[in-house]
Amino acid sequence: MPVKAIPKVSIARNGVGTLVVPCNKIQIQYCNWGGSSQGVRDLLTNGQLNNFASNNKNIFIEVIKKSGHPTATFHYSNKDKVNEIDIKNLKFNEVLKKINEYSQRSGNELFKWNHKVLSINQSTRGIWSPMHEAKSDRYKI
Amino acid sequence: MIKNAINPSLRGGFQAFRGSMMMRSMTSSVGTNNIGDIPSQTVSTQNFNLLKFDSNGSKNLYAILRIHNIPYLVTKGDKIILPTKLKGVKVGDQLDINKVTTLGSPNFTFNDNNGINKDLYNLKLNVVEITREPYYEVYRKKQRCRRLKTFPVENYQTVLTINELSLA
Repeated sequence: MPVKAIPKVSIARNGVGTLVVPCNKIQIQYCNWGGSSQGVRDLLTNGQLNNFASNNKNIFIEVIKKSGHPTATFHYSNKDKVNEIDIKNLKFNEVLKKINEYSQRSGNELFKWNHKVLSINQSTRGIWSPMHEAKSDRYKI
Repeated sequence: MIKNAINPSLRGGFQAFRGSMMMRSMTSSVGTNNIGDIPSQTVSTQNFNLLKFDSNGSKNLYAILRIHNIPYLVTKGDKIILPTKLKGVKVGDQLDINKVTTLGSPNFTFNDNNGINKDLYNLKLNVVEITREPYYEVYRKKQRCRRLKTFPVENYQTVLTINELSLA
């Protein structure tokens, strides 16, 4: 009987090998008239959003003029997740802080991991068993 | 001498391939431990070649690295979740860890508490995500005040992946 190899599907893990930054698009929607959009309008005029865009060239930034409270929508390549947040009545630096923070996320839902390390690899040392120790090393009761 | 050659260990399938002949040549370097061909327990060694030989081309290799002096035992591809926001770091950055205290293969560990010489291994971490914990509130009661104080908590988390772990 011929020897068959056991097929094993490689698992795509972002950051192992290459890393794709998950946030790929930001839509900033503001109103040209309303007071709640003042911070966003300041951000657009003082050039800080331009700085952000030139520092993050892998993120496509779209600015939409539309009446109503301003919002920022973040698109993530991770399962095509979209996250829309409110940026009304914020100062321009607070808006920038929000944009900076959300662009660093992966689009996953917030979750508190109580493990320091998450691994899908087999344990290097394997499972310890008292039955398979050499006799001299066994614990005697 | 061949204390453990008949040891049907549960340590994983790769152990079945270990030839006692290969290991016999290295017994002298373990020497002081008075251990036969294959040690029954993981042995701390100062012989780096032993580790290199036992790690199956860096496939069976783990490292214990320290970030903020907290040890993390990792293999290649693992995720480290830090309960903090690393300063001066952005998603997409590659980190070069300078404090690795232990490198280990199935049977041997190579340890230096002051940090192993960086020329001996390749270890690269990627910053994958800087996110937060879900929002929750903490209530505190002060003396002589009947009201509870409410504190919002939304701590940062940083996720790192082990991009590369191998022996040089």
